[in-house]
Amino acid sequence: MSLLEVKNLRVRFDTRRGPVQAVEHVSLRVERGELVALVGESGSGKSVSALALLSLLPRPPAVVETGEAWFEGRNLLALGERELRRVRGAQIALVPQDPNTALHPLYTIGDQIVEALRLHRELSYAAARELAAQALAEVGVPAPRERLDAYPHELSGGLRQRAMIAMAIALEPKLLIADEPTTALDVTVQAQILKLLARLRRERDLGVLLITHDLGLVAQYADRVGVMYSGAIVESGPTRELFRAPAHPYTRGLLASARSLDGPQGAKLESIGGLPPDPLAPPPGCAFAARCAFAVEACTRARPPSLPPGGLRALASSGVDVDIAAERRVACFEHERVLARAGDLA
Amino acid sequence: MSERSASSTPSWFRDADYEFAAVQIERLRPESPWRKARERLSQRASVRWSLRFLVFLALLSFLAPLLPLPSPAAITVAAEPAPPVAPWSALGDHKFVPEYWDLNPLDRALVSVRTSLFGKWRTGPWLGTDALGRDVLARVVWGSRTSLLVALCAALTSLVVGVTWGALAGLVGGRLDNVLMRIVDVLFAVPTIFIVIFTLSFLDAPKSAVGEASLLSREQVFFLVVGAVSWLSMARVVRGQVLELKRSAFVEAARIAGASTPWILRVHVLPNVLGLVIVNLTLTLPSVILYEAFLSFLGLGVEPPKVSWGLLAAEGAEALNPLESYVWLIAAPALVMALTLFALQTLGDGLRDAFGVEERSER
Amino acid sequence: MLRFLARRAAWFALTTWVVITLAFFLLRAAPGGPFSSERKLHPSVEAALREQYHLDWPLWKQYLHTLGPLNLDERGWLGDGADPFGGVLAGDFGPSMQHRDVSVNDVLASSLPISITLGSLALALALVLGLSAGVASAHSPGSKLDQSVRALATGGLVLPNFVLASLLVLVFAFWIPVLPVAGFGTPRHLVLPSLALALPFAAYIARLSRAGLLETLSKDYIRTARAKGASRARILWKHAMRGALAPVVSYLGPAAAGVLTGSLVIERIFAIPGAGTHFIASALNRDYTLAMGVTVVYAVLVFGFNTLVDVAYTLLDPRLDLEQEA
Ligand SMILES: Nc1ncnc2c1ncn2[C@@H]1O[C@H](COP(=O)(O)OP(=O)(O)O)[C@@H](O)[C@H]1O
Ligand SMILES: [Mg+2]
Repeated sequence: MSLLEVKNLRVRFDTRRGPVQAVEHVSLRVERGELVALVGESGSGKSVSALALLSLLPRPPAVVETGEAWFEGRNLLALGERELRRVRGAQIALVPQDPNTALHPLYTIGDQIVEALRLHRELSYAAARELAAQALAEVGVPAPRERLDAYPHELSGGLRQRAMIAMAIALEPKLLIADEPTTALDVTVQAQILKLLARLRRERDLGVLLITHDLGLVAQYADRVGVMYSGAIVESGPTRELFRAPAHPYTRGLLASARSLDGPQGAKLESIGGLPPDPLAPPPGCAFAARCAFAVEACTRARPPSLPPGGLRALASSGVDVDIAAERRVACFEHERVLARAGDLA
Repeated sequence: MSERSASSTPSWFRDADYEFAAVQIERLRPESPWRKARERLSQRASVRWSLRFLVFLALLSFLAPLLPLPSPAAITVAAEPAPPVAPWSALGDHKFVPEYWDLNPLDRALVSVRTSLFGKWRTGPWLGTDALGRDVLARVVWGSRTSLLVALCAALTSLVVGVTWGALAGLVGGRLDNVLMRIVDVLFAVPTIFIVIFTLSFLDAPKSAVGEASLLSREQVFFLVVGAVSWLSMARVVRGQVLELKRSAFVEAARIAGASTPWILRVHVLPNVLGLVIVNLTLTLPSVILYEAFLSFLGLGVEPPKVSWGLLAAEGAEALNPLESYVWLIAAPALVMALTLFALQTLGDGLRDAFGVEERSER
Repeated sequence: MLRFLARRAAWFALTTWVVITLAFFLLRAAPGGPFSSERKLHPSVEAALREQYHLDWPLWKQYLHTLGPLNLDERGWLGDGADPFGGVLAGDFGPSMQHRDVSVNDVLASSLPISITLGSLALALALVLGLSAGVASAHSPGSKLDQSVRALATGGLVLPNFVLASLLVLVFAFWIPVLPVAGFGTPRHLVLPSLALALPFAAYIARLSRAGLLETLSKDYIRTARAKGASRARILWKHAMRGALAPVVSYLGPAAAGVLTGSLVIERIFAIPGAGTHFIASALNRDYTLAMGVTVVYAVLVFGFNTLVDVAYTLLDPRLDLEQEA
């Protein structure tokens, strides 16, 4: 049994200007001790998907239309508020997107971690404080005892992010959902935080769902990847295979632009032209069609369905190990043509 | 959102990166506050009705001399307050006597038009009469003139003095800002009610041996004083908003793009400040109308035989007792006042939502 | 903190001086005087009275005499050495001009405690009523309860307080006669006046706290608290309340000034012998000294309360620094 298995998640926002289908189709799986990455440009629905799992979206305007999220034999989306509260924080912890706004500005870091601990465990204040200091030390905060009494505004961005992570892991959860934990940080701190997450999952058998748009980090740390575009996971699979041979034009575009960034100086910077569709007026066909170099007429008429696992037979002809490819899924009519040109990327 | 940037961009210059940059800049710049506000306001029935009510009231109040109402000042000796009579059982009679206080020339002209239009016909006592036999409906309509005029006065001072003061402080900044705002701070700390009462009591020298005539009538001083104390919060609010805008990303972007100062003022600062100004006005007006009532209750309002809502409500409150329930005397002025303030409040809330202004505790 | 208090003290001095000066000149500029009205006074008596109260002095001398803190009286500077301090700044308002033989300090000592009791009670009541209504309303926005709270709050804001007070009197004096409606003495006498005084402020506080709570509840850190597994009640009371209180606390300054103003009306309706009664009478009767006394005391009260509010405000938010706020 997987640690977390999400099936067919759909989320809509009823806004003043009309309904917005923020998440259209998300299915994903995280095993114990596994680090799964969710990548995609901003606005593609990564955060909304993550928040929907713990029923943390503001309702209204959010409506979870369909979906199941199985965690240790229970469907999170069908749990009552009381049971859900016992899962939140204790079993599944969230590191929200922006540590600057996610910490309560009027309470000290220590009090906020202590609160998390005491909500789920019978602990004295002093004992909880001790544990909080340990958690801070574990995530590499220098002088943790003094930081307990600091207010968020007295800390740097990197320290705030670490405090958030400390708060999340203090209760030793089984799954950690980290929403862009490194976006606001500089490169060295980024690497430290990712190393920290990698170590925690090794030492504690922690499952991690890492939301990011940094493909470099994904390549280095993630076991598996889901690529999101405009509310749907358009392609997913083991990181190495997916990076070696992308089957969706969007994944391909992402990889190409990431590589051109790393490439020799003066090389032409590649980027995916155009913009994602207006969420209020989505096109009838594939959401990526307007920006896609591989698009054919069929793409503008209907949404390409997600291929069932093992359906990527074409992979064999491009020289990829078919056994591994059984885990790969893609939603594109033209995936064979895309795959066939995987060689151009390198 | 992007249609404007797209149409104003030459097509040869429209590659993906540029478009991305254009979208980012558009995102920094808030949507036009006016269009957004209009869009949101027009969706609200309550706001529409409030606006209609206020316009109707303003018309009624301005045209009061023209209406075939009984005279608001004509006293019937030894009368008892009479309860309201339904219009269908007493539509009106022909006993109109043109008794007013010193009217200004325009109002006199309107009265003479009224006499030639309706002759001696006047409406019946639809809202009853008071202890001096005066028609309550006529008094409420005429009374609205004082209350609305006070509100108008406060609005004008707020607009002229408050906005200029705050905008000057915010735009120029530095030492001038410091001086201007310290003055506002001190004035805020001086309890304004004292100034108001002292000033008004000058003109109320009933015991003064020699009738020293003052230059201004009590009403005029009253308007001046209310205006003088109502601009302070406006100055603060406007300054705050101007400072915020000066620091904001889209003004910065415009400045980097080489926009001139007048252009930034006109396109970015003015529209955004104006929303706040309007919202603040709708908050000032109710408090000024209540202030008029408060002063009238203390006997410092308009001088009889002139009327105001505050005066009517105060008279009504005094006449309130359970033995002889002259309820209409208080119900009529209280109800129009409540309706007016409610309309202003609804309008203010609607505008606040529409312009995305937070509820503040200024004043 | 010390620097804050020092700056506050400087402001206090400036404000008090402005108030004294304004009051002094406004009063003297008004036509008539404290004795000009009583026709039965013989001119020689009036002259004697004017002399007694130094009204025959040039204006600048009167001003210095009123202002203090160094005494300037008929014996000359410093009261001839016998009595060096006097005037408003020394806390001595002098004898009342209307109620002769009584000093303004005595008048204030007997009436001010009544007004302060009434005012603080009303403020406390406004806070309790307003906050509970606001919380109840924000707990389930859009519910029946929320709608009725908002309707009531609107009612409290659109009617002059004397109308509200008259309605209370009508109800409690004649229909449900359980509470006294006039006078002062027992705690029961205080219920209706303080309620009438509190209602408009309670209504505004309800609005402010509701809006503040709803705004705070939409913040990211509230989501963090939910992600930790905190309950709704805990989130409302612990996480949202503190931030939502800020606008309410900063409203308390203006509210205190408003309560003082409102008590002028309430004291009259409920026949309460507070300082408000003297306020208008002294201004109308040109009782220069008493009017000055009431004005200065009210200004000091408002200023002191505002300082307290500022301190409370910075205690509420660790990001604010008293030094800068001063
Ligand atoms: N509170 C909201 N109201 C309306 N729409 C929302 C709201 N939050 C998110 N959305 C919609 O959901 C989409 C996905 O947002 P999000 O999940 O935050 O993207 P990201 O992938 O950058 O995390 C956005 O493009 C937006 O249209
Ligand atoms: Mg996100």
